[in-house]
Amino acid sequence: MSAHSRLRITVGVLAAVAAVAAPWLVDAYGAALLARTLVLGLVAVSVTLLTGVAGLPTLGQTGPFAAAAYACALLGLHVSPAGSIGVVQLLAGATVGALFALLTSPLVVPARGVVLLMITLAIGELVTIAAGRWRPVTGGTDGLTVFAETRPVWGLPPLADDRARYLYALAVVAVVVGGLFLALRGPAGLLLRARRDDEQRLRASGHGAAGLVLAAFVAAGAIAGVAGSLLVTTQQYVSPAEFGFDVATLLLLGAVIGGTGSLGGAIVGTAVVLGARDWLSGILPGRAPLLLGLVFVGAAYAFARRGAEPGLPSLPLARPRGPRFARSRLWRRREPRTAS
Amino acid sequence: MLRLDAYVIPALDGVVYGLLLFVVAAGLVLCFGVADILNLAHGTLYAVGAYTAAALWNGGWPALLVGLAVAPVAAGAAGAAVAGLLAPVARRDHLAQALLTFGVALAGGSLLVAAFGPDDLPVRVPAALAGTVEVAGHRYSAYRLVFLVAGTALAVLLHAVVARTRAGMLVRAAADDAEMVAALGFSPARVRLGVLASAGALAGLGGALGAPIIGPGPGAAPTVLLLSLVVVVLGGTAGSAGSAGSVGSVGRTLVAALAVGEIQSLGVALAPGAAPFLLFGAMAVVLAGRSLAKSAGPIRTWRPARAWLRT
Amino acid sequence: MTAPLLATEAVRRRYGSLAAVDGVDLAVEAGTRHALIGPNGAGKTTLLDLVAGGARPDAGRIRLAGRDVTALGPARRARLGIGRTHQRPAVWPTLSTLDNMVVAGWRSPAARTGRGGRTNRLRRDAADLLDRLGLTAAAGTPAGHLSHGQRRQLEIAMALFGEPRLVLLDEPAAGLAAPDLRRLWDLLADLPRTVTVLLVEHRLDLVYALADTVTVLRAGRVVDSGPPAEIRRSGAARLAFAEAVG
Repeated sequence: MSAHSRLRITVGVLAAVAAVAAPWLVDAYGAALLARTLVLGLVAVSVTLLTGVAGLPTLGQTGPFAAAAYACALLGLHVSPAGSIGVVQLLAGATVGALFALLTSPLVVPARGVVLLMITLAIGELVTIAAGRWRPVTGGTDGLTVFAETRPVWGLPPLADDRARYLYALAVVAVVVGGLFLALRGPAGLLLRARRDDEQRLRASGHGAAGLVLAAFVAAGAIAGVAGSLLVTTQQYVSPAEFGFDVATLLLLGAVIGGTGSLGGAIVGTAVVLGARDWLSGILPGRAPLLLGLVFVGAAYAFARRGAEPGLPSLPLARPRGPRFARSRLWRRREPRTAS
Repeated sequence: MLRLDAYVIPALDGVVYGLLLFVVAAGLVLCFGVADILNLAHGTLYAVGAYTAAALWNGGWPALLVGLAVAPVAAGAAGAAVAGLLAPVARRDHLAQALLTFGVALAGGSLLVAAFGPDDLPVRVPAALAGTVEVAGHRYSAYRLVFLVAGTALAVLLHAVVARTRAGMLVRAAADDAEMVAALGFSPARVRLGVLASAGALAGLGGALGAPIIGPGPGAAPTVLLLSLVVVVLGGTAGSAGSAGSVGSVGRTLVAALAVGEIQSLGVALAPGAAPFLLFGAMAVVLAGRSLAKSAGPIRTWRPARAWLRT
Repeated sequence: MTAPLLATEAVRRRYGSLAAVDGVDLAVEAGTRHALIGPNGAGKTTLLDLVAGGARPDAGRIRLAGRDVTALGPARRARLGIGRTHQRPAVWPTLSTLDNMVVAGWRSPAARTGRGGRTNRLRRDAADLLDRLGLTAAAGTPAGHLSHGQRRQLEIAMALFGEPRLVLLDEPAAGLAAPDLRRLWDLLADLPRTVTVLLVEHRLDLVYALADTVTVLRAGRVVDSGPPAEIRRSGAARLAFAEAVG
């Protein structure tokens, strides 16, 4: 095992330990903040799946995120007691998110590049506006408050405080990200990255690209949907302010900072971005957008692709992750040497 | 029974709104079709124009004209600044472009609010334009009627520039094959500068002309950006595989802009609160129909990415 | 008499007002090595595009073993057994060399033999082929970091890996240094006759040594076609090139 992977594993273990211990190190407000960061981090993971791994840049993952969050809120408000069971909410969230992706797929699947960014931006924004206007269902700009606390499973006590809610969210995020990581180590990850590199070449090898793209969108929608249900569980409140263009760009920034195709990086990157935003609002209230804008510009320079090939390792913070597909016991080879 | 009469004014409003969106969206189409740039700061450039009008207009005609001259210059300069900021970013790196231009939009919006305050600003037009005029038995804003004329003239002018001037020809050529244009000796940096400055000027002019319609305020930039994006997506983009080239795309953008304008005006009058759904539905129908048409008809080239862009 | 493996019937393809391919009848018999030569702009690459499915003809038909494939897209044609290389080697730069091979071979007709263990088998076979090409050391390297010659070899290996019936090679020797050229020559010479080759190439020494049939294209039309010795004698090739230059 190379020094590089040893380092990565060490960092990963430390991060995991820190993540579990965190709620005991901060107060209730801190735990709630951490939970929210985790939730947005999971949406950023879905952004990374599309943008980094599949090469489909998106500003619209807030769409399935919002749809699922509202669906789970409504579930918690109107269906009881089943609507307050964590497992039910997670399934509902994933399903609504996946359905949203499926329904919007005719708009997004044929699109690539800048056009895809525009379309996904428009979709995400329209969902937010619609949520703000559809008072009877979504509560309009006031949002929906869910009073019933979530029980993870039938028979368990409800999650009564912020720490419990945070740990629940952590567990769910760990499972989802872990599952996605494993799935991407196999053929799915290879095919998505090949499509990202050269779609025409992929077709020339007999693979149909449209199905691949659709699957990626639906999977990302399901993941964002799970995040939506977690939002309701941890905050017990949902409103249009959680979504929209601003949030989508923050998530994109977090995913970019975290590194092309890095799932864990997406969560870390999101935490960094949210932390920076809150810190800036604290030191210079009112001027935060200006400073945040400069942060975005700086990040664009720092993380702009320098290599000749898109996706080819040149990012300073993290290396691109890829399935260890070729690293079987049958086949010993050297670690990929990446230029930087 | 639908009282059609009640919808004349909203329908007229829709045309006015649509023309405004056309002027603004044309700049976005230019950025994107020629220089492959997604400029998320485009709404901010509109706001620069609108704020300029609010600052310079004092109700007199000379001030009106001065404002209309200064606004495109100011916004064009801002566009040029964005071009400069984008210089170190690779042409194909759309994510970095999105992050950078969004950062500019955030920072620019903050600066405008710092300079002009957080409220929506009133815009003072000359007295002759501030009143109403009788149209088909209804009273309608004189300014909007004049805008109707001015906007149409601007649309015709844009079409003429694209179709008949050398600059327009370059625009069409670059939209078809940017590498070819670079090989002809036009440096990409110069192209980017020209495109962003022109797009800025268009947005600024739209901002000044449209200030009485979508006025200067913190919400103007995001609204204008979103609606322009929808127009660009609906209208297709500059350049096409057919012989019409981007001359045809000016027309498509106009039609799309009018459609969005009508949805925002007439649609709201017919079904209040339904505007976002209607916009969404329009996008869904157009995009799905477009991709269906492509798969049903004789597809000549299997290069999906570029083929989609060259709708 | 069996149908030729590949037959194009009066295919025509225009780009704007330029007729890149202007009524080409081509017949490639199974098991043969068929070379396409001609000056630049003669339409050779366009013809390969048409055969592989990357472009659709404005007129005419394309048949693979008698079956009309004109309406089929490139993915479908690839699954029917057409492999292809390009003038600039098209590989997936962020995937490792070995991964490139595996993805290329996945959907080939030869790989469709049961699910479990297929990926392992693919990996082993890919490793073998890379070994024969001397690319073993580069197996784990991202393909974007390979040299031009290595990339070219990889692309050819990818095209061949799926055991296609017909492989289309677009100037495979272009930009290759002598040792890489040698390896390419050996590879092409050792190909089993179950693989039919349609080759576009400027290096006439390679063409005359390797090909069973040579077709000369000029301005989108077939000027002459036949065994290499005949083509050499007739001077049709010389004329085609000369007219293009002079």
